[in-house]
Amino acid sequence: MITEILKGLSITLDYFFKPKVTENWPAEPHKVSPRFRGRHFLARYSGGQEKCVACYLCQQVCPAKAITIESEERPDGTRYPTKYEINMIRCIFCGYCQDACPEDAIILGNTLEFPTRTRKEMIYSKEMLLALAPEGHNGKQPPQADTHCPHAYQKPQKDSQVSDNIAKQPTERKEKK
Amino acid sequence: MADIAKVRLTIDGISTEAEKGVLLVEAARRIGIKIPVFCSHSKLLPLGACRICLVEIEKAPKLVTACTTPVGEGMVVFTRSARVVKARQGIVEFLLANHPLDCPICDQGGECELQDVCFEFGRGKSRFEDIKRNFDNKYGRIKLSPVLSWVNNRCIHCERCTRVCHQVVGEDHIGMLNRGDKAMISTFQFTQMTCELCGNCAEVCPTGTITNGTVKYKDRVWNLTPNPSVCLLCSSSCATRVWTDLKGKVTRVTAPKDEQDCCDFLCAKGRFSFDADQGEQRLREGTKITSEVAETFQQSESLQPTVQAFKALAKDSGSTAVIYNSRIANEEAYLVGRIARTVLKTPHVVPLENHEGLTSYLDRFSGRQSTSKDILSADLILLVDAPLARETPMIGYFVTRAVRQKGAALYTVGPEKTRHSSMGLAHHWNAPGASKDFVLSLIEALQSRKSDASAEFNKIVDAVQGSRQMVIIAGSRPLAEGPAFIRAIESLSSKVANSKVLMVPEGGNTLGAMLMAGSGMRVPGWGSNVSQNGCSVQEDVLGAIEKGSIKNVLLIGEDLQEGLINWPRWKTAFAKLANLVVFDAFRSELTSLATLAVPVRSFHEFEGSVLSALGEWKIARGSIPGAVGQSMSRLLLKLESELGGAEQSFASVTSEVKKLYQWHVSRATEAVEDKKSADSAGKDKSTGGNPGKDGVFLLIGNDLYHSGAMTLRGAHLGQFLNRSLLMNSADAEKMKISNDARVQLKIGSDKVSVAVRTTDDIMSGCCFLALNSLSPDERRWFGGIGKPLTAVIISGGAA
Ligand code: SF4
Ligand code: SF4
Ligand code: SF4
Ligand code: SF4
Ligand code: SF4
Ligand code: FES
Repeated sequence: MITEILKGLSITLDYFFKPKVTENWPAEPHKVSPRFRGRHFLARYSGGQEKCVACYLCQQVCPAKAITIESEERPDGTRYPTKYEINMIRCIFCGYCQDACPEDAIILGNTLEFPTRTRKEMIYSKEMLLALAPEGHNGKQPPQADTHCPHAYQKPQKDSQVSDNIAKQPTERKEKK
Repeated sequence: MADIAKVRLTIDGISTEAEKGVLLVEAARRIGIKIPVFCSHSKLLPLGACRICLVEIEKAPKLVTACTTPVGEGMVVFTRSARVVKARQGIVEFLLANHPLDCPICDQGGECELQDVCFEFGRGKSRFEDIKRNFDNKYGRIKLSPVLSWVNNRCIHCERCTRVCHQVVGEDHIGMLNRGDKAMISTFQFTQMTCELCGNCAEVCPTGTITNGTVKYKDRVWNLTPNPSVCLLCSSSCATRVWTDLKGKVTRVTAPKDEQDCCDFLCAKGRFSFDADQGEQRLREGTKITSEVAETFQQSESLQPTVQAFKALAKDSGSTAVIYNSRIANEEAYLVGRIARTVLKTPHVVPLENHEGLTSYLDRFSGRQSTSKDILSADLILLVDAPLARETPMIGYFVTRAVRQKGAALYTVGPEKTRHSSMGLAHHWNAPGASKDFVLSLIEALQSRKSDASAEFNKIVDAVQGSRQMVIIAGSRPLAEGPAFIRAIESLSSKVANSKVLMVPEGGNTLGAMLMAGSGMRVPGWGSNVSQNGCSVQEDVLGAIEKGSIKNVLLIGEDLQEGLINWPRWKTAFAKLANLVVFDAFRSELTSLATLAVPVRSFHEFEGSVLSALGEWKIARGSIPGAVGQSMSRLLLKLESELGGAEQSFASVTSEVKKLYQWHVSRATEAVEDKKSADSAGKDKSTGGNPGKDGVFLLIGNDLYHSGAMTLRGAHLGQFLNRSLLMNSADAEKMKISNDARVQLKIGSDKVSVAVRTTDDIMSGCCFLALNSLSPDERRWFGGIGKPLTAVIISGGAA
């Protein structure tokens, strides 16, 4: 019996000398992993142009229906959002929007804490989201060949894999009405 | 149909039967097997350009295209065999070799046939590494037309658009330029398009090459909901899909997609005018004007002001006139007629449109006018003064298809050469207002030829004599000639075996509204004990108000002020009234004069059925979430029950309306049986005018892209207005008026200054002016569309 007690205490003693994992939050900020999905921002190309082309894919994929977009044509014929809003209270930070975005325009940043006093302030406008873009995404860099988004977390499949999937038993695919 | 030989075949193991000549795609579609297509389209002749529809046929050495191969006896077809799938994968790969990755910004994305096929048969990854073909017009900035966006990079060269332009629109405006990977769809001179059926190339384009430019980049299709509706801008009354966005606002209008003949296409008016009722001019809340106090009320909140107003109208029965126009559904017209006669107890029920000829036409031809099928199967089509492109574009579409796809012979008659004259075999010049004379001399010539007739006239006589199945189409001008013309044309049709007649009035639901509400002289079937001695045309009402015998007016419809001929006179007359109640969708001087103005739904928000000129019964569901106000028929039903009538559901009104139509049809059929022996065609020739002496005949009509003032309210079509006087070039030369010169046109005591455009497409002694190009003030001396006016041209008029 005494051995059992000693065994238990030894574990306690063990942890007593190990480094602490508990954080002193909120007095000290929480450290997030590089792939943490926090508050979004809208990225710009290094020339300064907004990346978003208002394709509505993020709005469509969003399971929480948090994104509202309105779009227009610029005088030069390109497409852009006149309104891009994310309701951060609705958002569940699933990251689907980032995954769906063909332009790497909407990216979930690392910010965990952004409380406000009113609900209204939690609806982020396009200007706010653009302003939140960190170094490397804010268009301040001189124009250069843009690299692929470092935050993208899905690797493209290999060529052979894709065509295999599709060529496999095409008769079984469901007919679209 | 029973005599068409059938063949048996097997498609993907399912054995089926199809008539000889049916194409494989169609036979497969009937048993629920979908073969992907790009270039094939149910309303176009087969081409076989894209090869995506390849299928395997047992014992055939090569794969064949299902869209060009007719079914054969004992065929065994595989649409999904490994060989077929591999071939399609290859085709998709080639198509995508030069296709941009535009899907995120491409307005077709989500309803793109190329996307669907690539998703189903594509390899998923490109093996091409070379630079893709890139035309300058990457963002669609060079426009084919101000309402279309056009991005050549996305084209897959299926040529649906060019074939639509040739076979359906009849315009030949676009074509394929250059060859190989430089091939592109373009207008030949980079000119802008001027076709009334503009937008149909965008409708059929399987990719995002040609898209609706008025909604470019505005939304994505998956956010839109289609609502079945009917276009009320002309008497073709096309079925439409009105698409609303997430907020319920109308964002585009397209044609319904199915296999019926009438579907898949719309004209430019119907397609692009949806912004017309979204503007500031919409009547949004009720207005009530009591002695010097104007108050507004929310229509849905309170029915009381309207009930009170109706009580006031009913109190003074007999001195109330009910005026309606043709932009209302059958149910609405029926209720208007019923409330007028049973609740308000007034015999004065007056349509705004000129309807003497129409009434006679309805009495004789209801239910037996030519249908779209008749036009498509006719071997001879005779257009008697019918500018279909301008008046009823989608009836023109059937004529174009009959000519270009089925080889029908087409002859045109009248004071104007139209789009269809250029497709026709001959055009016979005939003075305006003299269509009856033409028909009578045609009847005479069928019996004995006259030696002095023109060559064109003789050609027409030959064609009529040799025809197996003839369709005669007459426009709104012959209709305005009145019952005498109808009798003449009936007599002609009775003399030619297998012939059908179609008269096309100009406005929306003209036929249905007239049948359901009738007029002071013509009471629809349900009330034999109501007086038939009321006013029946608007001039009568105007006179009666001025004399003081009519003290109250109820106006129901849409855009009513436009239909009131000589507005200044009406304005003074209205000031005398005790009550002026207006149900309208738009604000106007009229609604501001009204003692009560009630907002109603507009021409694509309304609910109810519509009878098209081709005799089709079309249903609008009125399910648009962003519609203003409630549906007029439901409002009228509520009013009726508040005023002591029985409560009735909308559905039962619908069935009553149907029954009433059946009654009209059977009456018209009986009338024909009665009259078979008596040939009632009036032999008296109409006098016509003498344009050379007393000025010119002024033909007025709609501008190509406009219907009344309605479409002018929208920005999309507003830009197209053409305000010039079309004049015969020989006449102009004689009067020393050059092209583009400004002249003054004198009508009555009024003068209008316009620019002249000379043309050979109009008869000597005649001019054409689009009524909608005139401001309401200028327009006040013009009669309704139909009757030609006499005008004097004063050259060198002040600008
Ligand atoms: S993270 Fe998820 S829930 Fe939040 S906006 Fe993006 S898709 Fe919507
Ligand atoms: S953020 Fe990306 S996915 Fe969303 S609309 Fe813009 S481009 Fe499309
Ligand atoms: S045409 Fe279709 S496949 Fe091509 S970019 Fe547009 S949506 Fe994508
Ligand atoms: S523009 Fe569209 S319809 Fe015309 S050929 Fe190209 S893909 Fe076909
Ligand atoms: S204006 Fe006439 S032809 Fe054009 S869509 Fe409307 S009903 Fe059809
Ligand atoms: S659809 Fe058959 S070849 Fe194009």
